Amino acid sequence: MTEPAFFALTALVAGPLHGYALLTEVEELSGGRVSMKVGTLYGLLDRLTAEAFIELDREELHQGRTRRYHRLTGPGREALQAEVERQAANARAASRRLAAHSALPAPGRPKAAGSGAAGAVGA
Amino acid sequence: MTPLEQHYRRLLRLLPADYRQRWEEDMVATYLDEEEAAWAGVEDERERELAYLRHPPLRQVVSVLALAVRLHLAAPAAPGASLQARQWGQAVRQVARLGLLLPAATALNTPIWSPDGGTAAVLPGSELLAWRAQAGLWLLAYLLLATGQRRWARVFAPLALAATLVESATSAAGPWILGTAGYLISVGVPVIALLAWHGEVPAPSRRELLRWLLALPAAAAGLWVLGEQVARFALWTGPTTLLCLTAVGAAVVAAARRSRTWSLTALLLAAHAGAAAGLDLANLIIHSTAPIAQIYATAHVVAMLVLLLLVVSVRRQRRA
Repeated sequence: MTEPAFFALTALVAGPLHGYALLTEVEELSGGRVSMKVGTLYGLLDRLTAEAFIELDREELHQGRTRRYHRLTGPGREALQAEVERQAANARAASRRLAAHSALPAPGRPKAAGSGAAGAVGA
Repeated sequence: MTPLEQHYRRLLRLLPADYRQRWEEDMVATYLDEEEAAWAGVEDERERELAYLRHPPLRQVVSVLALAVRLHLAAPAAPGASLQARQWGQAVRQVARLGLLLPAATALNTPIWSPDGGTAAVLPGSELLAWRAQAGLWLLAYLLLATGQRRWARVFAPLALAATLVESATSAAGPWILGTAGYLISVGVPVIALLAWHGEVPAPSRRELLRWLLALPAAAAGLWVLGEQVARFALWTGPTTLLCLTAVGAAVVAAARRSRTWSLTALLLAAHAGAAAGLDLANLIIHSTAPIAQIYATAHVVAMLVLLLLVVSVRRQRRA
């Protein structure tokens, strides 16, 4: 799952959103890292709709324009849950490895004379 | 309707009709919501009104163009894409791959690593260096594309094209070598066709990878056989001839496999080769007094027109 798709599905967990609200929610959830253009958003929405991860909730008239609200579907929630578990498992594996090797010198630190090339491996 | 909304609706016409039917109203609403939010903090009412007379910003135009390319030239398994968009996408990707194969095979056929540059030995030192640079870059761009490194291929292919332009600008060679618009069309179009290798296109399977890697030495061997065996071939062979032969080859594959994708590939290659041959012919009419060269160039143009008509009529018959 791509990062924009992950954040778009996450944004819809709290309830249906229209296009512009989705853009701002994704930017906020990602801490400003994922800033989608409108063309990119609608490429993503079309794909998520075709995959049945999202669907139309309702249409509302706002200042003479039709705003379409999108909502998360059951399969969408399951796909997001699976992605969250995958990312959490990755993070746990990385944390375990970091904790196990936290006593080692930081990479790039000059080695003490005669410590040998294999000094940092298998400690 | 404000002029800004009109501009957005005009821009969205680049997208396929069925997609527009699903999303146009919603997209326009989002664009205008975004514009309103951007101008909400501006206190000068006149300036806010002027915002609705402007054109869409470049970043939005670029994102719609990118979306249009993705939708019209869809990846094989793109969800929601029409069969036609997938076939067009596949055909344009084949044009890119075959189009890069030709200069790469030419680079392999003429040993760029040998001290005298093989057949390029007639070139003076600086031109030989420029020739080697562009040949090496084409080879690299093809290998990157064949091995699924599309991002890097999209960096090195334009570099190869730029090196070809530099070489063509500095070369004093005649119209048969470089420096012709026909040649630049023949190598430039595949670089543009690389746009169809967007993020949704999957990496090649092991079989595909092997096939396209083996295609390189096979094409280089084919070029060597043609160069060695065909009498006076050196007079009329060139990138345009090779492109015409590739178009014919694609049409043969389309007929043998009854493949719509390959027939589209043949159609695109025939149009591409025909345009390059047309420019070659125009160039020769202006610069060359040798009638044989003009006859060969005319033959290329006619052959590609015949191939185009043939492929179009076969496609129509199958559709009927």
